[in-house]
Amino acid sequence: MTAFHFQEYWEAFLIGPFLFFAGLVGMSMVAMAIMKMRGEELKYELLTYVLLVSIIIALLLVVADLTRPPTVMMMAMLNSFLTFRYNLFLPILRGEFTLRFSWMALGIVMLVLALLVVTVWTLPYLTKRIRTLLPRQIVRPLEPLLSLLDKIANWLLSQRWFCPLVIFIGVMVTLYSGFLISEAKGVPFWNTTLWGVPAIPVIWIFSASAGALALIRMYHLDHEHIVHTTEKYGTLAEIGEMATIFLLLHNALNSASVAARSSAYALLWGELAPIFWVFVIGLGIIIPLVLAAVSRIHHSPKLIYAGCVASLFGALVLRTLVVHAGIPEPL
Amino acid sequence: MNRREFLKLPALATLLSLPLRVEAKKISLQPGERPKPNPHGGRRYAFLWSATKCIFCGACVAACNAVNYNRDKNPNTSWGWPQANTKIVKLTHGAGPRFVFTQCQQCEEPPCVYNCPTGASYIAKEYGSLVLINYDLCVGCKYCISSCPYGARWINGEGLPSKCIWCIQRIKEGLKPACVAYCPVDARDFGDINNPNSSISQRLAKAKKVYVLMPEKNTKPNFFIIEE
Repeated sequence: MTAFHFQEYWEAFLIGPFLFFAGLVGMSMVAMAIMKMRGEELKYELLTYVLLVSIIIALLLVVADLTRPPTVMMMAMLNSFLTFRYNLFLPILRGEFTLRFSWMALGIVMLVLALLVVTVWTLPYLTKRIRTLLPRQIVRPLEPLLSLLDKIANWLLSQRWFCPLVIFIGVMVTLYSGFLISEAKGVPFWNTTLWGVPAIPVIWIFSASAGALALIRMYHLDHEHIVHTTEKYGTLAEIGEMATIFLLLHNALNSASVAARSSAYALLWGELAPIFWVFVIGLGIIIPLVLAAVSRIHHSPKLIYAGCVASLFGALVLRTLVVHAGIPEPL
Repeated sequence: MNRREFLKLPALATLLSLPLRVEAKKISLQPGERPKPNPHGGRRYAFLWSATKCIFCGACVAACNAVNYNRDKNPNTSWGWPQANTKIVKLTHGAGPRFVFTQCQQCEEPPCVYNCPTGASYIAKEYGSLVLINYDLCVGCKYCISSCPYGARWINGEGLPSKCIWCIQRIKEGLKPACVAYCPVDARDFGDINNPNSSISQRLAKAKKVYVLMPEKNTKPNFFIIEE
């Protein structure tokens, strides 16, 4: 069944982890903003550092897959911005009233906005650390700058629209990480829909939600209330993820496209099946679900931590595998 | 009815209404639809390849390599082929010829253009809506390559996407693309299909069968395969 070659346009070991970090950042922003609005006491400092590092890793991974070096790339992108060629609502700029745009263009903007928003969220903690950790001789000349940054960040953080903005950007970043590949018409498996709705963005939303909640949970093992809340919604997200993955595979197997069928076959029974069943389904979904069930009876921080790591690793493998499993449609 | 029940009912109804098995859609990969002239006028360039006349001699490949790649002997590793923008493809499904020459289909609805983030791939309306690449804006993300259902783009020696531009440099001089000009059996043709007197319009009108590749992708290709 898999007589065709897997796609070689994108390096799965770069784009897969990129999609993972983008999704993780996106839905973590959403989960953290919702919890902040609900007045939950999270370790925001630690989490914002993790998000900041994750966005930087995501951006580095995506840059690593581009042919042009970052300097040329930045100039080319700046040039396309200044000449109104940047493909963000380009048809509207041209006077064509169709909502058609490049998800990659939108996503890069959203990732940069996510970087800015998370930086704002991190700044008060970061300036405090700088003041306490660095020697006074270094801090003193920086003090005017630190207080200015502090003021700006605290003003932004105190605004009522800040959390809704974070939620919006987080959802868009996660959706982008799905639409990026589901819009690539050369690979029918990625284009597979769930009765008209692109499947991959939906799976990514579920998977990234489970991952984000796992990330929050693993830093709050001593807060039983947060563990149970995140476990409850995490379980729902894992079940949703598993259901949508199998619906995607079902629809791909019944698709008119031989390439989509071959990709689904490779994942379910073919050469990619061991990785799919062991790491994506077993480690990434079943183990976290079982450990969440055990956790309701017996609260064990070690088991909860193991479940979180398994969930995150499964999400990473899922994305790498889906990118790798794409097969271009033969003519 | 409480909130849970209120949510449960439509969710269950939705699940039950999902068909248990999705019917495999029937697709005809190459319907015999002849292109129609644009009622709004203007030029609309199209390309024709005749399955009846082509003898697969490879003169078109050599001509493309000479004109566009300066006779570069390094292989096109993306296709396992010489550095040229046209290639032989074995069709795996659909009615019609088994082996065809393909190249960039210069789609009217080009996914490569719509997905390119920087606008490097663009539609040049002044040249009959050809899809061209502005390499100054290309960042090498390869999104255009993964967006093309025809596999018409390949990675050149600089790691950037390359594709057939229907020899725009020759069109500007009033010449035909190299593969058309150097085809020894007249298997290829190129021209404005909005002009009913052009040779391509005449051949399309007289052809026994006209095919386009993958019409179900809704890209509206301007590359026509004919049987004469």
